[in-house]
Amino acid sequence: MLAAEVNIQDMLEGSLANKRKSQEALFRHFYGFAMSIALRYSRDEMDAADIVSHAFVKLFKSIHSFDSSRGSLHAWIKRIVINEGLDHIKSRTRFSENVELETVPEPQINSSIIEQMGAEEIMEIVKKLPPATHAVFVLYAVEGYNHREIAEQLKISEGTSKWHLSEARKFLQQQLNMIYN
Amino acid sequence: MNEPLKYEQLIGEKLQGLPIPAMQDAIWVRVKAQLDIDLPTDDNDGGGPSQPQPGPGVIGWGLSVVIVALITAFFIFKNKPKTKNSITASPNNPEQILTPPVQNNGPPLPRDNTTKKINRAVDSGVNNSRVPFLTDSVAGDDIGKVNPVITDSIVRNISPPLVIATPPAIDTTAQVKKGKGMKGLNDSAYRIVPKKN
Repeated sequence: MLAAEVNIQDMLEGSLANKRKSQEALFRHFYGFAMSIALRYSRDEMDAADIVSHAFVKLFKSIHSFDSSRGSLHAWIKRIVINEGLDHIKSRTRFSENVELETVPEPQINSSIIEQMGAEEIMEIVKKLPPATHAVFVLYAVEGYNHREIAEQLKISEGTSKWHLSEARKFLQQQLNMIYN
Repeated sequence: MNEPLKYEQLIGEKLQGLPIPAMQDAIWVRVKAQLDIDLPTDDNDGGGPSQPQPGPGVIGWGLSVVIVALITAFFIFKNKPKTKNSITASPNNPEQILTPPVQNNGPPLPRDNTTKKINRAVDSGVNNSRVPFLTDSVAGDDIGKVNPVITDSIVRNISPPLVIATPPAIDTTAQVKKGKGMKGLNDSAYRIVPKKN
């Protein structure tokens, strides 16, 4: 067993015993990982800080439910932070059920344009998406969820998830064309 | 359709590399505060500021302050009755005879029963009512400026005037000298005269 794994196990056991020092160590160990996820679902750093703080409070309150045989601690934390990010978006917007699509048209976007852009530039464009569309796009394109998983996660239909993805693609194509044309 | 497009995969990779703001300290404070409410703990190893324990140093300082306060209060209350006594003593001695500052270069003045010892006001802050007057011409003047010169001829021919000061107003600052013996008694009252047959 690696030393890092031993440390994480100690942090977990201490956190289970509700020891603040262990909880703080666990928080600091996973802060960067959690913050990178939270930033994708937020409009700014303050939003992301809210998501991370709420996520870790939930994590410590439900740490007894973590089962290492069912998945890694990283995956468990990622799920908690994503859920918190989606709750954050849901608090600001409503996912419409009136729009559905069977198929999503593929946009004509030159990948070389994306390669030339920095992460912050791309994030600035993604943030311009409507919150629900933003959430669906990030879940699909970044987290790798499929439409069925997104539909379950957001309590919407798969058709609605596809519609949001279509809207996101159209918007991004438009924005990227504006920048490079 | 179910697979992200290449540009979307690129966006996903780029977004994984977003710079992380260094907000962990501020966020941990919020997390800890919320945990203290939701999951209170007895252990004091959370890194937060521990409650100050009153040590012997604190107790020592407290005792010192109390002792100083008690001593101060003692002296204040101890001095109060003295002031009252000096005030009440003045009416018991209504006649206070004071001496002006006299430079007597000649022989000593003859003592007379009617001559009373004149005390000099020590306190320079004494008001004019306490200042004795030697003669009518001097009365009313500032006694501090009067320094009578008594020559030998005056001393021989003129007995020193009787100077009796009016009882001063109640003055707490003056020292009151208590008279000796009973009033109205003189040395002759104690003289033993042998009986003559």
